[in-house]
Formats: sequence, structure tokens, C-alpha cells
Amino acid sequence: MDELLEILNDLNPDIDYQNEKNLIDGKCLDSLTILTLITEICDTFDISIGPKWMKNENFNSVEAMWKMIQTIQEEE
Amino acid sequence: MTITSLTFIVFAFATILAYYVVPKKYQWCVLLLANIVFYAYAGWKAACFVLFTATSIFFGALGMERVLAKQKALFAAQKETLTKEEKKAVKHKNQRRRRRIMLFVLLANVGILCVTKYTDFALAQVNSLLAALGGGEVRYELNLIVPLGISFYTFQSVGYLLDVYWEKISPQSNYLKFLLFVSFFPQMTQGPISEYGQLSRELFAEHPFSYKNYSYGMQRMLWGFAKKMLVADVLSVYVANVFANYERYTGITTLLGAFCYAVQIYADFSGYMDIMCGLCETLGIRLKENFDRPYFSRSIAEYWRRWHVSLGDWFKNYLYYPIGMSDWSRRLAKKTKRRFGAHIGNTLPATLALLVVWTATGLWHGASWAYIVWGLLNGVFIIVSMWMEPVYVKWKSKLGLHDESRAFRAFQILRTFTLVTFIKVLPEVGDLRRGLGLWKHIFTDHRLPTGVGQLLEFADTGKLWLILAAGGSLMMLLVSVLKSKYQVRDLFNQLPFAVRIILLSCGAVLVAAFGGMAMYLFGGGGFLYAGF
Amino acid sequence: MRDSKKALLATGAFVLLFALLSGAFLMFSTPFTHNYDWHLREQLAGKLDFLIVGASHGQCALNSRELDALTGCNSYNLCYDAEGNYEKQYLLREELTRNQIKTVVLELSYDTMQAAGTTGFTDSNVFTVMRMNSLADRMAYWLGHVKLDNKLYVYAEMMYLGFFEWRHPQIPFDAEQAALKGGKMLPGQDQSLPDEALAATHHENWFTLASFREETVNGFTDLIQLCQAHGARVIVAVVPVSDQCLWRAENLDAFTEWANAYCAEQNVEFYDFNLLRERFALLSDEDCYSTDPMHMSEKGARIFTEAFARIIQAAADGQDVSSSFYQSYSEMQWDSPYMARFQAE
Repeated sequence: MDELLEILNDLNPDIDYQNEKNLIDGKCLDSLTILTLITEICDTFDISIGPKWMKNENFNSVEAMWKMIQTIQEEE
Repeated sequence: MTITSLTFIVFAFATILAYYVVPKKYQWCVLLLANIVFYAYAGWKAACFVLFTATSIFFGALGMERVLAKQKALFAAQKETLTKEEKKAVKHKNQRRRRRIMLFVLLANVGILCVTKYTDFALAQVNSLLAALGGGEVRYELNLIVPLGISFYTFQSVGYLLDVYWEKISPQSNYLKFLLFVSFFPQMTQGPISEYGQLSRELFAEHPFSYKNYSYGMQRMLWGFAKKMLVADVLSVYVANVFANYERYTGITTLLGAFCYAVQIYADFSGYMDIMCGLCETLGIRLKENFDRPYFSRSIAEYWRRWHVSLGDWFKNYLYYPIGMSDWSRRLAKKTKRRFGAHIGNTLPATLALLVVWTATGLWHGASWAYIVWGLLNGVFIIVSMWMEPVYVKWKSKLGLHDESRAFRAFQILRTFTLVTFIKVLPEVGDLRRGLGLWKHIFTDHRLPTGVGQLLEFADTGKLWLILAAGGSLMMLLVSVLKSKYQVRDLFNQLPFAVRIILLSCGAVLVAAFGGMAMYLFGGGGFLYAGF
Repeated sequence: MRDSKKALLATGAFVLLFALLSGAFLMFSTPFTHNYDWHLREQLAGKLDFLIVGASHGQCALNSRELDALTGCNSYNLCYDAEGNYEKQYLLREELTRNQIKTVVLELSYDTMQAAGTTGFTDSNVFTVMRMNSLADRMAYWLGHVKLDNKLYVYAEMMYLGFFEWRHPQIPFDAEQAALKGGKMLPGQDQSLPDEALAATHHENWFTLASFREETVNGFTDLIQLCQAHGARVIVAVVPVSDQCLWRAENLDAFTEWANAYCAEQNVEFYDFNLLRERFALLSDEDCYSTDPMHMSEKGARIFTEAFARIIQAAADGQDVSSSFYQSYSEMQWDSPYMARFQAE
């Protein structure tokens, strides 16, 4: 989770990731940031995020992202 | 069926009445029946195309699901005996099967879209090439029907197909329910392009009658009719005058005409959305919003997050992300980051994805070089902004500019509105050459109008219509400004009932009388985006 | 209160207020504009015995005052711009009911029978509405007679004219116009096409029966049957258009063939005055047509009305008038002044 937070803070340090639960629905992250985020997550955690996971609910909060990463790791 | 007609009003009321009279579990059937009636007006030939798309994608999705279901059953039955490698092999084989089904159905439907919309353009390019090579010509006389709303329902259905392929959603097993999703009449001519997950929840839920939904929906429909009939249809005359004869007018007048076009197209498109979203609201159905005060955007990128939102989302979800997240894109990002740093490494793959998206967006809007250039222009502005972001941050810091200062925000809004207007008019003037000619004319004709009369000489419909169009445009601006701080509809509905009814009746008389007359005098009735 | 009851109340209040506001405009527009026509016809009710029904060609080509002097009848020209069969039927029914009509002339032309094109014959328009006197009549017409697809347009135009009436009356009552008893007299044309331009237009408009609208033909048949039901003599007449129009048209014999067969089937008299042998001598483009080559000028109407009256009276007396006409457009075209002028083959 710390690595994930580090990635997010590098991309946009102005957001309070601990409390923000609407990162996508609230338009806090734009599409370029999201694309960069996904690339960083894939590289850092050595996973492949397919289109199957591209749902707003998987990226709306740090907790949701972390859960998604863990699920993908288990599946792989 | 012309939307701005009494026939449509009667149809809408009949649908609303039937919807709430039938038992709630059959409400979706009423909608399907309404679709059939709506499409019957458009012609049965066009309906065949919709049926083909609905049927092919319905069975394609079920076919892919069957492959997955068989795989699940196999893994469950042979949980102990199958090794990890064997499971992987089975998954891989099934994934290829599913991809074949998906590609076959996708290509069939996108193929129909391309043939109906782009054959003329493609053949024209072939003939140009042959002429450049010294002769020969492909003669053709195609009388292809372009089915009503083909771009919209094809994209919506393909989105569903891909969502099933990517296992984001489970497919619909009821053919009639799926047909309703594909052919939902409020969306047929101009969208919004909805995702299956969101729209199906709305369509198939049971909706009890709500006075709030009914009154808010009706008010919104009236607002939509007003925008279309009193603003868009009148401005269309002025815009047509300017586009056809810009050489006659001064540069300033031509620029004013271009701004009129920006207002016209917004009133036209968002007016349609208000009518249809309003109608759906009376039925308790929430359609995706397509506009979010787009002319208050501070950058082109933001503008495209606020204008025709559903199309932008579609391209983002089904083109931009798949390209950007692909293996080759990630490899490119990694390599580039190592050599040139994080900013370039992250921006380059996005750039390539955006170039594809914006070329496709241009083509979606029209089969012409003007539209392709239009799309690429939008893309280039967004891409350049992305690349220049670190430079902008430095400049703003050096110049002491704050993002949230009023003056800077005003500058950004005006700049973006002007840029967007310039880009918008390019494909609308006739062809690319004339579009560029109009730009040149604005910048090179420095004559000053001798007075208001000359400034507005393209507005040759008489004072009454000019006042109505200007008044309507100002109302739209006022509402947009208020929307940033308030829920305007809630504000309106706080007024006493008698006041509301009087205002709404007066508004309706104004729209029906003058809007109806504007339609007749200026040849309105059709919507600009209905041709896509 | 239940939501559905609230909705019904609100909708009812809205519709009522909408109707009251609309009525206010329409009431004010009642006495003005084309309404003088209603007053005239009211004054003449019970006295008329001859009606002319059609659209703008008939409106401009037949002068009721002249016709009365020539034939001793008491005629009224009910024709109006772009009047569709619905409107013709409405007005015809009104006059047939309150007068002893002996003769009805139904004006016909090849362009009125065709699909929309340049004439724009919508099935309902505001002109008839404006020729009614009371709000009740207008509402009854709008509710019961105008098709759903056209209701918004007719409503809008009624309201639009009503709005302008608030400011000042559009067309005041004119004694001169009243004496005409319907119809419209146009000034003569003040320009003509240069020779080269005119020569180039030879046979540029191909007439085709395929463009006839079945609905329009059926509507015309209804008019004939309405007249016959009241025992009136029915004369289907094509009023002559200018030589220029005929020079441009091609394949009009298909129209004549159709019209002859149709009128024989309906058991009515048919005269295509385009084929009147005297037309080239009597009706020159320069003198007898307005700036719009389809419509006669006042002078042309006087001349034509005389020829028209002569023919129909001779026919009524049992004379064979067929020798007064060319048999076909193909035959007629050789005598066209343009044929000699341009020496076309």
C-alpha cells in the first residue's frame, strides 16, 4: 500500500489519498494520469491490468486500487 | 418523426401514460413498443440495420459467455486433476475462441457503419489518386441508406460487446430487453452513447410515478424546445449567411458569425439532450448527461470532458485506454522513461493513443478531410498542452499567475472558447479550403463595420427574430452561470405553484408560436447531430 | 395529495393557461388581415351562383367582376396562394351549403398535382384560418380539420399573425379589393430574360406523372364529388401559364392524356386553356404576366376572363368547342413565338 501511495503522490501530490473516495467519479485524476498510474502499478507490482479491471470502482480510492492489485496477483 | 412537432408531443404523452398504467414489471415492454413506433416513422429499411446489429451482438455476446461457462464447468469438475499449466492452456485457447467471436461480430457491425458512411469518401480518394497517377476512374452510383443514428447505436452496441469480451459485465439473456437497449428511441438520433451497465439498470428497473420526476422532466423538455426552436433555428440563418458569403462581410462580422455558430450548435445539440433527458426523467430514467457547461472550460482537454461527454468516454474506454495500456505501449513507456525521463516516458504513449483517438473522432463526425483535420487539430492542442505542462508551470510561477485568480480563469475561458469556435467552424463552412479561407478572412480583413447595421448585416431575418435569438442566448448564458453555484431547477421549483405555471405557460406559448414559426420560416426541424 | 393527482392538476392548469394565452392572440387577430374575405362572403351569402376554386394561378387569372359582366352570373373567386385541397374543400362546402351554386370551376395545373417541389402545397395553412371570423370556428378547424403533423405550423402561423395584429392591422378593408370578389390582381412584368438565357431553358423541366401524389389526386376527386353532390356544373380548367413556362416544360402531353382520362372518368368538363388556339395572339408574356411567369397580371386576367367566359358559355349552349383548342402540347409548341424566335428543331 505504501508503494502505491508513493506512486500516487509522485503523480499528483495535491490530493489527500487517505480520505478521497471519488478519485475517478470526482474527476480528481485525468485520463493521462490514470494511464501513467496503470503503467507504474504494472511495473512496480509486476502485474498486468487488463481492460476487465478498468472500472471506476477499482480506481476511486487507494483501498480499491490495493484490493484490485491483490486480486490480480492471486489470479496470476 | 420530427422531434419538434405536435406528433412527437402526442407520442411522448402516450408513452408516459402507457408506461405508468401498465404493471411495473412490463414498463420496459412499453419502451420497446415506443421504440418500434419511433422507428416505424423512420422507415422499415433502416430498422433492418438496427435488428442486424442487435441480433448479431446479442448472439455474439452469448456465444462468448458460453465459452467461459464451459471453461468454468470444466475447471470445477476437474479441480483436482488439472495442473496450472493445463488450466493456462485451456484459458488461452478459450480466450482465442472468444476473441474470434468478438472480432467477427465487431468487424461485421463496424463494417456496415463504414460502408454506409465512408464508401463515397473512400472512393473519392481512390479517384483522386487515380487522377494523380494519370487517369482512370472508379464510377459508382451508390444509393446507400444511412440508417437513423447508425453511429450512435453501433458504438453503444460495440461497447457492450467489448464489455462482455473483457468480462466487465455479464451478457443479457433476454433478446427483447437487449433490443430495447440497442434501439432506445431517445438516444437513437443523437445519443448519448450509454454503457450497458448504467443504462440497463435504468431501463429494466421498476419506476413508480413521481410528481417531481414528471414536473422536472416536463420543464426540462420545454427548455430544450426553447433552445432548439428559438435560438438554434434562428441562428442557423445567420450562420448560413456568413458561411456562404463570408467574403462579403468584414472580418469582425465573420468572427461574430463564427461565435453565433458556436452558440447555435450548443443550443441545437444540448436542446435535443434536454428534450430527451427530460422525457426520460418523466419516466424515472436517468440518461447520461452529455454537456457540463462546456464553454466555461479552461482548456481544450477540459472542453472535451464537458462537450459530448458520452462520445469522449466511449473513445476513452474503448480506444484510448486499450491502446495506452497495451503491451507495446507499456514497453515503449519503459524504454522512453529510461532514456528521456518520466515526463517524456509517460507522455509519448498517451500521445500516440490520442492521435488515433482524435483521427477516429474526426472521422466519426464526418467523412471528409475537413473533419479529419478538425479531429487532429483538437488532438494536437491537447497533446501540445500535455507536453508543455512543465513549461507552463514554470511560466506561471515566474509571472506570478495563480490558477485560481479570477482574471486568469477568465482569460483561460475566453481563450478556450475562441479556440474551440475556430476549430469548430473549419468543417462547417463547406470544405477544408473554404474553412481555411474563413480563418484567413477573419485575420486579414481589417475593415471596421460602419455601424451596428453592418456588424449585424448577416442577421437579415428582421428585428423580432434577432431579439428572440439574442434573448434566448442570454438566458442560456445566465442559466449556465447560475448552474456553477446553484441547482437551478430546484431554485425554479421553489417558486409558488401559480407563478411557475404562469411562467411555464408563457414560455410554452412563446416556444410553440415563435419557435414553430421559426421552424417554418427558416427550415428548421432537423437536428445538426442527427446525421451522424 | 397523491403524485398522480398533483400531476393531473398541474398539467390541466398548464394546458388551460396555454389555451387562454393563445386564445388572446387569436381573438385579437380575428377581425383583421384576410378576414375581410369572410365579411364579403357573409354579405353575399345566398346570392352567389358561380364559384372559382383553386390556388394562385386561379386567383390571378380570373376576374370575378369581369366574369359577372360577361355571363350575368354572381361569381366569387375562392382561390388563394398555395391553397391545399383540404382548405378548398372547407371553403367550398361552406359556400355550397349557403348558396344555390350552379357552376364551380376547379382550377388544375400540372404543378399542383405533383409532390412538394416549388409550390409547397401543404395540406393546411393559415390563409383559410384567417378567412374565418370567430375564434370558435378557428379552434374547431384546428382541432378537427388540420392534420396532426401540420397542427404546430398552423398554430404558430396563426399566433404569429395575431402577434403582429396587436401592433397594427395588416391589411385594411379595401373597397377596390372587395369589388373584385376574391382573386388578386397583379401588376405586369417589368423585365424579361435576355434571348440567350431564354433559349437555353427550352425543355429543361421534364414533367412526369410519377411525381403525382395520390393524396392530392384523391383530394381533388373529393372536391369534384362534393360539387356534383350539390348538383353544380363542374368545370375543371387549367389556366394558361406564360409562353416562357411552356417553353421550359417538356412532356406535358402526358399530363393532358391523364387529365382527359381522369375528367372523363369523373364525368366533368375539362379545358386546358394552355392549349387555347388564341393564346399566342391574346396573351403575350410582356403584357399579360407578372414578374412571376406562372401568374397573370391584371391585364392578362381581363383578357383571359373574356376568352374563358366565351368558351364555357358556348359549351353550356351545347356547342362543340374542341376546335378552339390544340389537340396537344406537341402540336401547340410549333406556334409558340419562341419557336420562331430561336428556330429550334
